[in-house]
Amino acid sequence: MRLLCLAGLAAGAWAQTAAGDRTIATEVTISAVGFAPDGLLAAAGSDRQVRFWDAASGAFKRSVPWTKEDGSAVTFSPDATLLAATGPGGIVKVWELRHGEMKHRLPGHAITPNSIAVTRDGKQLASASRDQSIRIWDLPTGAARHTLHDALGETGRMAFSPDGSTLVVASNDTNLRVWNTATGRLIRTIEDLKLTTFAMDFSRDGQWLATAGADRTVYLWETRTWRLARKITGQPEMISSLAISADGSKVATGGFSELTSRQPVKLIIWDAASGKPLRTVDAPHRVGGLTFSPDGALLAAVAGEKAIHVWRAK
Amino acid sequence: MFSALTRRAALERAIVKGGLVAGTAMSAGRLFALWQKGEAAGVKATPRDVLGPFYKKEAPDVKQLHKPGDPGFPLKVSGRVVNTRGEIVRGARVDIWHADHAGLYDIQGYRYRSKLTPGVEGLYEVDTIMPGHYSDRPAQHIHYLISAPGHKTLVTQVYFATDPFFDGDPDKNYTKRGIVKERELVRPVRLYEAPGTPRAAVSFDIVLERA
Repeated sequence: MRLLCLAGLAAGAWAQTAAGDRTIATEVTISAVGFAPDGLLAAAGSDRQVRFWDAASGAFKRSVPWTKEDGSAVTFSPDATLLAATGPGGIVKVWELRHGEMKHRLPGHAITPNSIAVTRDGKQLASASRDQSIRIWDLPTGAARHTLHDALGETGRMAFSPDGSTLVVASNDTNLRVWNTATGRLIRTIEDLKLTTFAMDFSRDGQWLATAGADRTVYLWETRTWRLARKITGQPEMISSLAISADGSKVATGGFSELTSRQPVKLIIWDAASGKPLRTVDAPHRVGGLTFSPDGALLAAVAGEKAIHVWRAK
Repeated sequence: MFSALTRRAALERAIVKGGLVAGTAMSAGRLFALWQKGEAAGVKATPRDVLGPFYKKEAPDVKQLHKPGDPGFPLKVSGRVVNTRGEIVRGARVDIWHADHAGLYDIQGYRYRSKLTPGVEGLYEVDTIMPGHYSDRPAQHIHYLISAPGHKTLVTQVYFATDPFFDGDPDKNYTKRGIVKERELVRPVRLYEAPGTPRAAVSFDIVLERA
């Protein structure tokens, strides 16, 4: 009986609010969440297990092993079929989650990467390190394709365009750099921002990039010209996380306090066209890894060291 | 500041004029190379540190970073911007920024932020307050970003030997929690009395590498 209880807690206890939002309290620290095929919600936990739940019912489905390292960067591929994490010695590891296998061990960085991104088709991975290099890897083979030399500031968030042809890199020098992933060439440096970008996401059609960060503002960039098209303001805190819904109609942002990650913040879902807030929710903790479900009905995030939040987005 | 060419020309002229008397069988080329290497090694470049996520572009060029009545212990930070030859670096710009006494960075404005132009002697100086502590990075620190024509841009930070974070022994504890990588970035703090009030002062010379 005791064993059953413990297994239940480790799998996560789901609690639902009147508004239909759910919190999953886990016994373990959660590094990343993602929506996987077949309506599943995936979460990578510090107990070296990736757990899958039915996102609608909350029923626990299965778990597969992975290796969590202290202080590592962890991310799911956009469809949560792959999990990538950095480890000591500058290594990036990639797991294939359908069968729970480690597929790649990618060495090369002098310092452990602090940021990773995976393309929508799962065929490319970018890793950025304080050794001031960004590496682009070919995931089917694990071969290193390009080494890009970053600016003087550390790299924060990176985002691939949906077709994988472009990688946008936000550095702590406040600039955004746009790289061609086929040639490894720098296409453009966007120097318009005075403060650092902490979060970004492409629209599914690749025509827009939304960025946000320290100045509490969402910037919408038109990717054909890389010109700023418009801004969305109103987040009361710095923005740590951002996602665009698959149909491009909504932008979600999550905040974080300057002082500590344990400060309550707002999660806001915006109408992308008008910039008006559609829904504002209190989040108990810095919001990380925001992601919409493929149908746009749900929004998941890590919001607390040992909790996942799933908000209603429609 | 001398370029390699003018340096070499100056040395050649010195030989012609008798200011440098060759006392070695070494070729002139080898001698010049060793001379330059010796000079380059003369002053060690300031170690790098991380830029951090709260840098803000376009700070004003101000020496007074705090206002009268601001909480926090008054602090003067000063130093010279030189290169690894010990020469004054011309045209340098020194971006400085730090958290307030409570550990918060000014995101809306430019409080405790400046982009300084050092004087003719390469001297810079700011009047500010001791930065506060914050939980994600609990050692008090001031960020620097220094750029100058002909030199590599340097990103670094200065820490304080008096910081309780070092438990009174920075020699032993500077690597605590992996925040500080280089002991020389933890600077001694000198206390002095300005009219009526005690103040702290820290000296931090910046040594840039030539590009």
